[in-house]
Amino acid sequence: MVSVAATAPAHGAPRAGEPLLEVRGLTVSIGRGPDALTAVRGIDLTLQRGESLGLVGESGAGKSLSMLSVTSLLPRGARVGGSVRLEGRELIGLRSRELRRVRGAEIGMVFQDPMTSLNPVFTIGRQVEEAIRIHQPGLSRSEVAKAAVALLAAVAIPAPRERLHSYPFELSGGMRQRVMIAIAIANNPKLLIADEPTTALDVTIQAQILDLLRRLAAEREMALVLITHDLGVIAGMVDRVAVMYAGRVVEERTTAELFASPRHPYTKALLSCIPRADRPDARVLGIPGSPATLRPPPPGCAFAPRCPDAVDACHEVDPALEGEPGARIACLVASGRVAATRPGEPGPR
Amino acid sequence: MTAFETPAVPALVPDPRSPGAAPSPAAGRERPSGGTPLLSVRHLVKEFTLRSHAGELRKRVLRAVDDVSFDLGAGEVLGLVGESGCGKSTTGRCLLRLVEPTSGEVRYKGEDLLAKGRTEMRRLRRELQIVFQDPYSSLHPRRRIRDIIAEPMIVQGTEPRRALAAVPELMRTVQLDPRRAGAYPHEFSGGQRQRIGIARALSVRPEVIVLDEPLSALDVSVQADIINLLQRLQQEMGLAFLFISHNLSVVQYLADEVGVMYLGQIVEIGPAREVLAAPAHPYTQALMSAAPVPDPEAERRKERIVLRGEVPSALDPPSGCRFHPRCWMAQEICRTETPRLVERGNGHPVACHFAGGA
Repeated sequence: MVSVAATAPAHGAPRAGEPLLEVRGLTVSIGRGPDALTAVRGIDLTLQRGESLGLVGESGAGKSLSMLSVTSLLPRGARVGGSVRLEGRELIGLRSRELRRVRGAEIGMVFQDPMTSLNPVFTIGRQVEEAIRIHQPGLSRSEVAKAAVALLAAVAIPAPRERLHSYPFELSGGMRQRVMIAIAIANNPKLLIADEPTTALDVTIQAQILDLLRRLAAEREMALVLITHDLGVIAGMVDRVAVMYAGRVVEERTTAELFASPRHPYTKALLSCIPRADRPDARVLGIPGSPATLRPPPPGCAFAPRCPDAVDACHEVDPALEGEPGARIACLVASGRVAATRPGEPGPR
Repeated sequence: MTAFETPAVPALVPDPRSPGAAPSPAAGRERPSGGTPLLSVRHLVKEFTLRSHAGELRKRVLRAVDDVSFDLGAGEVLGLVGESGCGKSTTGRCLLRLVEPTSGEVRYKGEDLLAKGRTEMRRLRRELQIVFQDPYSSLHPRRRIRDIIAEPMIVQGTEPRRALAAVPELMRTVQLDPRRAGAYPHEFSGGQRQRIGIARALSVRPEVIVLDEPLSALDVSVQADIINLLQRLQQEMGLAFLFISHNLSVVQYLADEVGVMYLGQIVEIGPAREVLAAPAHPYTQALMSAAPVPDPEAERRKERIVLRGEVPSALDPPSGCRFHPRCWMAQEICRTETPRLVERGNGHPVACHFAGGA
């Protein structure tokens, strides 16, 4: 089931040209016994320094779970398989003390709901300062306070010095998300993972937060993984996009190519679902059938039951993600490995 | 915590801030459907009184809907767009008197809805229905689907046996399997639950349906299904929709007319194509510019208007034009004088001193 597209090179000490993040054959299973569900079913991803990657898909595609496993923030009872390497260092199986050094210092995370991510009973200042102090224990009190003000200023919070004394409930959703971003970048991480960072926000505030993330990633040379269900948000934000369906990456392309010429039938179908302000005459098509169930996992391609192009083989063989980075696709028909159904011939169900 | 309570102000007290002399923006325009509008809203106001906190001397009044006027023609779709707290949902609820308007006028087929008693209002709700945003909390978890769908018919006086007999056909209309009529809401997905909510609204054969963010809780592909279902039902049954949404692309897709709301007021209203393709109000322009488009090329080229600041509190709205603190075009007049919602050479009413290049 775990499909490794290319043989992973052996990893030693960090060396030049090595990717920042390398995910190989990642699986995440939840529950045990007959209730067990493998929600992430073998994904491979590579991210270079300073690069930005979008993870897009619908609920249950496994996009959040796969990134939570990178920082070992999975819910209790979840089991992880495969490999996640940050600058060559394996993160899976790392002990919690070592992990804490990576989380926050090398990887920052921003979540959808800033209200539940911030502690309601502590001031903003205390929470930002805590993030600084944990990873830079040598700083004096005044140095930490100064750094906190600088961080709030960096995320464009007005009157940062006064805001240190505010509590989360005194801030708007947009301002709280800025605080979360300040905490995430407090130690200049090399990688920022933003999981639906603007989903809870209004559209004009979303534009502000996306602007901020774009600017910070460029200024601080951070790599960015942006998880979202919104293809519009993805289009303006990242270099490369991985489309996920039922726990697998089905297509991974450069952003320009993905939108100009989507190849996987699911990507095409997903793009046909959104009404477009820029193309008022385009019809919204939708996707026939219902989302894939992973209990039990489908024998073939998970999208085959809903796919207009599916042939017999699609229901039997789960296609691996093949191709060069930035031009990979997991589809027997689109990659030309089996012949498509000829027009007129009834497609198998 | 803030608690809302309905103010003791009786309905139909004329709003002192909207003199009767003010021309109704939506009135007098030609309707695509022709004739008088099905639903006509004039100077609608809804105030919430916030219970005073300890140490506060006065009760504070929040004007959630402030002098809103529009018309909805038979078989027409009017989209109401705006961000959280702009009053679009409260407006929708006021029409059905699910919240009691403070003042203003709501006429349905010429009848004044706000003057109706409980019994008469209940009878009129047969013609005016609503579908809510959250398909999880808007269906009773311990009632079977058939009872949920049949309830409005029974309330309207249909014999229960006959109401239940109509359920399978209604389920087929919204593409649900009638064999599942005995199931409970939790056995259905979010999209299916939204279909149940739509079937319930359709059961009494209404003429107007208020759709309050019916897509926001759904996945992209499920949204597409519901959009298509709504469009088909609207066209086949000649329904009129008040479609409330924060998603401009969806509104553009479904609506004939669109009203843009900001801090309780309509700032621009007109044909959807016109308003969204060539927005005249700076706020509409900012909204359009902020709505992400799934096209990397367009996103790169796009002139981004990133508004400064956030929506001010409706408890203490800015003087003059309510948008002026965030507007890049604001002049002195915007601080002092409230722009009226009138036609200014854009083909439709706009509440901005500088719309139309004046």
